[in-house]
Amino acid sequence: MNTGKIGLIAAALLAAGCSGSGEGEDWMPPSNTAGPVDSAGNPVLPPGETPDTPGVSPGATAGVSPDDPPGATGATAGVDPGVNPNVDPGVNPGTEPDSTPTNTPASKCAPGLPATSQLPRLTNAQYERTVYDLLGTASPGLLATEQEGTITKSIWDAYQSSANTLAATVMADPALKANFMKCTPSGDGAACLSETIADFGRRAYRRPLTADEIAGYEALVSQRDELTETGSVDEVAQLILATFLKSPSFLQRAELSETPDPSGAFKLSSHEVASRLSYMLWGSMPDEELMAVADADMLQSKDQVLEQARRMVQDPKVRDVAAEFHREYLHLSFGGRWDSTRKDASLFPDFEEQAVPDMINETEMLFDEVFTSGGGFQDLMTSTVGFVTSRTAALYGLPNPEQYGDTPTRVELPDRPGFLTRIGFLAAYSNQTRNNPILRGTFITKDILGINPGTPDPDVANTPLPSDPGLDTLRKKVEAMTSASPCSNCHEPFINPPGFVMEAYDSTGALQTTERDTGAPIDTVADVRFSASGEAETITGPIELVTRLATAAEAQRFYAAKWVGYAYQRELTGPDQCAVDQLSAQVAEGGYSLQDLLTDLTQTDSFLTRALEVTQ
Amino acid sequence: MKRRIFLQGVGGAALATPFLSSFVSSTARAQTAPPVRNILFFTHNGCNTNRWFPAIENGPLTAADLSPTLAPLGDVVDKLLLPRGFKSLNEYFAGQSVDPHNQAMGTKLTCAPIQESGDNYALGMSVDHEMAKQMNPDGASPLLLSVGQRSTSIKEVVSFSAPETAYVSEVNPSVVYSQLTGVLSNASSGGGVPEPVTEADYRVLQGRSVLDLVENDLKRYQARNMSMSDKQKVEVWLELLRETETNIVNMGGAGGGSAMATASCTNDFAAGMGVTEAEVAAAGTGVSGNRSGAFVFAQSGSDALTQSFTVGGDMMLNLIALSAICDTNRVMGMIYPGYVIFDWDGVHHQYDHHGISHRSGDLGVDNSCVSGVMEMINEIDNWYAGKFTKLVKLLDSIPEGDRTVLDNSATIWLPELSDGDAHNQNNLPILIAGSAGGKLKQGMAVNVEGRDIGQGNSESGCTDTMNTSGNTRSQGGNVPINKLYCTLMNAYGMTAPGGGEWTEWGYADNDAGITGNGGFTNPGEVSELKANG
Repeated sequence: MNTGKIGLIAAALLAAGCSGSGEGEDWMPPSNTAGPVDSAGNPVLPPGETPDTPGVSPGATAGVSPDDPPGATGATAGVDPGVNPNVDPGVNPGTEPDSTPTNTPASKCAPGLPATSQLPRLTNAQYERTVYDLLGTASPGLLATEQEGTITKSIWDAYQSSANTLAATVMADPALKANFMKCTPSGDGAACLSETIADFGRRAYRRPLTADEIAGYEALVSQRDELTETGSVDEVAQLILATFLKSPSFLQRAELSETPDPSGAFKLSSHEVASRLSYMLWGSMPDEELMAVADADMLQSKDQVLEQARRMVQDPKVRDVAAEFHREYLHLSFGGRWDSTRKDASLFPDFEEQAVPDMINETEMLFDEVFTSGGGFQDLMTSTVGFVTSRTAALYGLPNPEQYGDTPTRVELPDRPGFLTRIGFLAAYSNQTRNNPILRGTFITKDILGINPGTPDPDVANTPLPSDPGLDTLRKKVEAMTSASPCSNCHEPFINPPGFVMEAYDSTGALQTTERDTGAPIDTVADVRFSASGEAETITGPIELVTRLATAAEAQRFYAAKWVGYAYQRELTGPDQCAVDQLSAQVAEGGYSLQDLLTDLTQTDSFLTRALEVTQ
Repeated sequence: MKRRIFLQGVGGAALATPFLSSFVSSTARAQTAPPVRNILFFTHNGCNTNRWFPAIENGPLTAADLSPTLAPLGDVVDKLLLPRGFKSLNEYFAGQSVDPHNQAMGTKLTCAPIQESGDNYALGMSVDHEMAKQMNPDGASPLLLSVGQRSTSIKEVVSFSAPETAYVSEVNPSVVYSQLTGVLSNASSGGGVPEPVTEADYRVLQGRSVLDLVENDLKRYQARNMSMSDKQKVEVWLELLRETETNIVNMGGAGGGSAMATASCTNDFAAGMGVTEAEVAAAGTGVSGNRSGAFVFAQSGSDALTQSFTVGGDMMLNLIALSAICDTNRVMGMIYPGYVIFDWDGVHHQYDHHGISHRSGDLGVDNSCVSGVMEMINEIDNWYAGKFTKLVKLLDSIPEGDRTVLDNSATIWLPELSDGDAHNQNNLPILIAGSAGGKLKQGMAVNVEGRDIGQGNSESGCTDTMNTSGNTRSQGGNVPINKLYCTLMNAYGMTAPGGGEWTEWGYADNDAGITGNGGFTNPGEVSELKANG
């Protein structure tokens, strides 16, 4: 789980007049006595525009966003929009590995090698995919709640239960058993068991077993009479399988090579590189071809890695990883804002709750379509490919919506370029009774452009919308509500303008031109800033906005940085920022597919090496 | 032949336990004093305090005295203890000013402040972990369960195994059940035929062989020049292996669980409760973890949540009971999540619990009260009261020694907040069922503050369409909750560091500069809650 530590952006925002704190997203009220207080001296906490635990779900990392659900992960890294006074990433681990800073997020390119743990444990998703690739059966779903880092008793107990269950399942099914034992036992089966230990062990450990390891497993075979009831081949095979699945060498992607690298770090073995490749691009174990290349020790140069990476990004397995990444990019998780979307039935009778999964699916399918068709970042913002059902077609205003069934139909939506104009995003980032320019504007500002406005104080943010009858549009009300400092520091230049542009769509994502209650015309023209320090640009409507976002350097860089953090499973260091620079430049040039981007993530200096992690 | 080798391999002393436990009769077991347990039942967002608190706040309780919300507990009213007047520490603004919910969660069981940035995790260990260290024979960590989405957010985490270390609740019933299956006996509830001895023997020996291989794998890492944190990972894992080995030998996999398990720790009994592998798997289908495929949202999120909250949640309560029966853990908890839209069991809300607790539903709807919002709060309160009743009656239905499992435990309904809109921590609605083995008063309300507290003011928030926020908090009820924890720990027979009874918990001597009054909590237990007090 990446935690959002975007503190560096805030520093730049301070210069821009926006009041995130220097600490990053952790906006704090100025003192303990701040805030409205009632006559009895009790704090008054009126509900208002942005709740203390905003939206339907609380934030994963406190303060990352007003609308992060518990399962959402914050951005891994942010954009460096300017000068960052806080960080000195200029340590070169090449000469002195022990001084390498660990997990110090950096916002600027600095040469060197990021230090990483040698013992990353598989994530639950990686475990599940690995089990499937290894044994051809779904994992029994017995893993404990995911926690990064040191193993706990419940996690260890769950690994053991899962291993025992899997071993029993596999041995009870001849088809599955063949995935484990490639040979047919004869006689006492010892030869086949030995072959299985070597062959399966190599796949499970993602490297050949050492002689000691083989001897350890062979000992199970030689003690078969003591260890099992009848000493049968199947019984001892089941024991061997369960043991493999409980082994740290299976559960972790250990990187133990201590071959020195010219830079002073360690050069990874070809098998270690193969695991990095497959877990980054597929979220799972290497396939046979990749293992064969590793066995031949042919993953020692960038060119050798590139050849495999090019093959691997064409494999359907990469789509799952891309989808997982994009869910993180979108803050799309179970129990979050997206799947909790509800609408007031009295105001929006056309909106069916059953449309919610359809809307989410459409967004996921759009990202998948862009990825698989060789599209790039710009296409995420501007692609007009849509996937509609009878329930969503009506919200898009398509003629004869009933012609579309329950399964998504591919259509062209020329007036709805990119995911930001689709009903999935628009309805999720709205209230039940009306659209919400602040939620939409915050997402565009923070999660697309990477400009972190910080988290407002819960009390100040709970200011109710003014009810002055002279304010006949939501825009006027929001402007009035956010017009005073400190709210105005972030809302006026950054959050409100893109939110106002997106007011072309109502709470359900349907087009609207007038206010529902007053009939006043909705004004979608606003001066939007596309960087923390740049000039505002006048934008007239959503299509112009998303088209401009597609080419916004900050948005491209934020997207690339998010990929680097996700792929490398770490907060961005100085060297990682160099990679971000390079990838962003490619994205900016255009014609750079997401598949290209993933491929290039295998071409950084740090991909083939490891620096020793130093911790307190 | 095999038998002889087995004895050589493991050693006679270690064998005694599994064999003995297989043959111990239920009568023999009953002669040992049953274990004492702490079972937490945790809910979010406060409640309608006016409707939750009985009018009687000090003195004996009868079924007729129970409030509308607690009325379903009428049958077991003589096993209830209603402590009135406790306050959790670190209320928003009164302590830190980070976030009212984050402070409530982080400080609730730790009586410590929270991190002011980052995850907002607590700066102390929570009391359930201290209990587990002393109450569980092997010091095993507590068993904390939940429903819905797995979450490491401070909004959902109330337990901390160490300062700044979240202890996350398990939401998948299969995970819990799979760890019980080795403990459940195949014997019929009558305590008849034990499993074939040989199977248990093999489990012991196999387990050791496997652990040896795992250990060798880890020891290979130890030879490397690793970072401190990687070395720590290896150390912790090795320690877990030692624990696992002890458990294997102690339990022998022979069924019957620990020597203290009740005679009901059998597959038959579990099946009678609806706990079978198939039922458990079905109950877990609403669990949202472990899905990795694309387009998973094809399944409606609300359907999954409904399944998890209803079938899954009930299964979790069964698993708590079963874990008590089999004595696999003595410190347990059901931690319901707080940010969900109730849409099951006849309750059909449009807004999530948190929004409803603020009376405005979809926060941002202009400070006006949702029509009928108090009734929505009541519906949620009733639903949780029903689940608490279900758990209490379930535990009370299982004989243990001269009493029931309920009697030998303290099952505690502990809320995040008192009133949800006010976020107030004073006058907390806390209810304890069971006497912890005769140590706690029963059938009583006990006002620990010594002055009238009242039922709070939840119903003054939405007297018209505008939410008069801030009027809903209670007055009074300010006895620090660490005193309740001290009382419980002493009732459980735990000893404080350095020996003797517990007199303080949490940041008793310093407040980390937060309140400026030199102490975060107030020392001492509340002896009026004890049976002899």
